[in-house]
Amino acid sequence: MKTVLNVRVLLYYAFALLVAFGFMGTLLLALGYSPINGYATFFKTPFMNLRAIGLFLVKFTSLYLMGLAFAVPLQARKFNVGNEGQFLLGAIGAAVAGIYFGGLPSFVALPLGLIMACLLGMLWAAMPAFMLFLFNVNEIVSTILFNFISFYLVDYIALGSLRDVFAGHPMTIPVSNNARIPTIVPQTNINAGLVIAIIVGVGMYIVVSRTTYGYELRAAGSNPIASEKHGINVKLLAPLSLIMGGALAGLAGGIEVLGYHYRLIEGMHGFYSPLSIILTLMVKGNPLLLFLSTFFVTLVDVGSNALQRTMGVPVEISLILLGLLMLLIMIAEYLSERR
Amino acid sequence: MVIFLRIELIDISKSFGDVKALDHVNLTINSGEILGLLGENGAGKSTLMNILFGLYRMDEGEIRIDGRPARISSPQDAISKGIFMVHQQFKLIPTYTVLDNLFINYVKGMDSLKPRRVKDEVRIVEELMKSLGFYLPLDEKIGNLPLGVQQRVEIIKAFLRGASIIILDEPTTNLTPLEVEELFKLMRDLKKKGIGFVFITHKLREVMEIADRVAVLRKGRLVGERRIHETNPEELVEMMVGQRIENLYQFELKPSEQRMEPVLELRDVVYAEKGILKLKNISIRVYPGEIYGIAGIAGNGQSELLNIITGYLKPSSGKIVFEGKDITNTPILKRIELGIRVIYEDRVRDGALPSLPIFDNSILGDHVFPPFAKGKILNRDEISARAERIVRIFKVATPSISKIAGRLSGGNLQKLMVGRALDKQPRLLVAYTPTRGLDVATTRFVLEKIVEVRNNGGAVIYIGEDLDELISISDRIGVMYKGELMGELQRKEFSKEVIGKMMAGYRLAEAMSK
Ligand SMILES: Nc1ncnc2c1ncn2[C@@H]1O[C@H](COP(=O)(O)OP(=O)(O)OP(=O)(O)O)[C@@H](O)[C@H]1O
Ligand SMILES: [Mg+2]
Repeated sequence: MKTVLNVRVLLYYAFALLVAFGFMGTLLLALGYSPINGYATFFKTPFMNLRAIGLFLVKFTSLYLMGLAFAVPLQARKFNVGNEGQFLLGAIGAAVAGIYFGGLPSFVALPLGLIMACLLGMLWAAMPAFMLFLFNVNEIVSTILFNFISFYLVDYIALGSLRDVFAGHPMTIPVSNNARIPTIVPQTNINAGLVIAIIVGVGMYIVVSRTTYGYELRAAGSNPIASEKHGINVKLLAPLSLIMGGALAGLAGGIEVLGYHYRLIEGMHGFYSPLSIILTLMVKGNPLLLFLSTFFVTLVDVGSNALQRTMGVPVEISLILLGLLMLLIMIAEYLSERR
Repeated sequence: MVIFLRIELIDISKSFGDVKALDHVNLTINSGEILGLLGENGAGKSTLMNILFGLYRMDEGEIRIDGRPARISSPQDAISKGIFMVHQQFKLIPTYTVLDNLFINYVKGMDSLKPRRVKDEVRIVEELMKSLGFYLPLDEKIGNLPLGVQQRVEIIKAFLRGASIIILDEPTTNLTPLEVEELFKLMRDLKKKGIGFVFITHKLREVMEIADRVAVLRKGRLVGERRIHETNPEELVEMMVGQRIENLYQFELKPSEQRMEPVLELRDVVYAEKGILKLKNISIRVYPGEIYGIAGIAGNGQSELLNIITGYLKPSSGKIVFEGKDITNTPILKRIELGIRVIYEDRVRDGALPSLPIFDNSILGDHVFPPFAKGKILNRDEISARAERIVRIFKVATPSISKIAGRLSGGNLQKLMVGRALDKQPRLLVAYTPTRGLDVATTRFVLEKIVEVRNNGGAVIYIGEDLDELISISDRIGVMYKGELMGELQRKEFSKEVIGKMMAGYRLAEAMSK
């Protein structure tokens, strides 16, 4: 999978960025805020101190893995919009394992928590995958339905016997220290989860572009009939890719629980799923370019939160910005494809 | 009434990166006239027409309509000026009826909100069909109709929407001879009504039959124009290729050795689909160093036969034996490993991975075998080496092997498909009209390559629709009709007349005696 980037294409993208941010400034001005202060807050806050950088990287890690969970099935033209539910199931798995098996030594408890997260994520993807395999049920519909079920499952756990009764918001008691992912920079939230995400990301790039499995995924995505006529089991492959996506989303949930919140919290999935879809489509699912687009989307997300906190700009500006950018990227692509 | 148009393409140039696809081309197209457009693969025929239809932008040059400069920057522009194009992939909606397809997008703007007046529509079409003397099943869903009929729906649709010029890019490639005749009749009738056609093809016979005038492109340049009665096929070939080609259909078939064990044996193969018998007790033996030709009109079971040999379809009963082993239940990949190679009939549907680069396309089917994969890991060097080899030997016109396969010209994509199947000497090659969409010289080259497979001891099953081709390279020919083998002829018995009769349903003995 070679990424062909020529100067003209890069220019189109740069132009798209410029227009999007120009529009943001204009919007701020129109709403009566100072655009200069706005830009400063937007770009500086995420990096102003170690703590901020820590929060940035936590978000980056989750968004990246969520993007990957969407990107891998995308190779086979399957749309895993269920990464939200799979993320939550991963979080549940990690939290429950981290509480119940927290007594075990760290080198057992921590991997166990992460494996549970992956397994539950896979399980959550496996059901739609089976429905796809057996009855050809469209994965977009079925995975969304499973997202809804997952919200109630989270409530069930966070309000059940593991509930933290002292907290106002539904959440579980913390996982034991042994199950936590170690921080790599003291006094911050920067934890080894980031390293795991990078390794998994590079690994996925290799799987997709350098293995026969990845080849078959891409072939099936490009032309299922030709693939089948040349011996690729498309019927099996597409569901498998969904299950793999499930493992990745589950891992994202597990890392966020064991490396940052240390517990399951209702609503912790935030806007991860829609953002992850946007950032994946921006780079057409290339796992390496995904690092770039995730960085950028995280910046927009964190930056707009900062705008809201310090200047009172509604946080929805991030969605406006991303939506506009996505649109511009699509136009840029059209222009660079046009002959 | 059809509006008369005179379109002048003036000094048109167009490059794709380093590839100069068109180099100062001048051409005039008139309503009421059929212009044949000829040229080798990659000569720029499709590009020129895509520019006229507003799909591509030209780098240099001008289009004039009736003497006035015209701006055509999108298909909508072209259509509003009366210029239509029928692509090889039709733009009809398969789940809609013929009538719906004819009138979709017929009306523009606010008018499209008005309820359709189906009665009027039916009346308009019926009158038209009557004046043309043919019939379309208006209530039938497009998807249920043969390609030839779908194509005529596209053309009628263009006519109803006010076409003056209709561009047909290789319209006959996927048609049976009968369908070609019907297409030509429609073209002639519409010509009488004032429509002009641009007709792209690689078959000189067709140009000689239908065109009034012919223009030839070579490597992006217009090399000449002729009135059709002032030229002949030999001259046109010379214009296309730049040199004379002698003995287009003569090949050196090395004498085969004594008959040994067959490479492939089909024993009483029956195949039924949804209760309909597609193959009836087919028994064929193909020997090493032999080309077994299969003649027949498309749709008489050839596709099913091919898919049964490759393993994509399972026979309902009967046996497939390959080099003495029963492979009736052997999966596709295993058969590829045994040395069975295939060139499928429809490169776009069955062969290509359009959104992936050429190098990925070059190993489809071989992607799990050494040297392209070691265990589960792809060997990129070996893959590139194969792609480079195919591009070099088969002269696939492309700046690099990392270009997306979907961007190749039709003929060049076909060369890639053929190259993929022939890169490694097959033990059995099954090829279905592998020269589809190839120019004269390349057709000759591909046939030579297939003869080479035979001369090197491989067995070949060649399913063809062109009798000249079949007769020139086959050792034996079997004729299929309605899923049945009507008989086999030895090379010394070949006669177009007999084969033609068998294709129409006579058995060998009957065909010989009449
Ligand atoms: N979209 C494209 N991008 C890059 N190169 C292109 C594109 N379209 C055509 N080309 C190149 O331009 C040249 C002319 O191609 P074109 O499709 O016009 O040939 P053609 O005469 O229609 O050939 P064929 O008989 O094989 O269909 C070829 O070298 C082709 O590879
Ligand atoms: Mg073409």
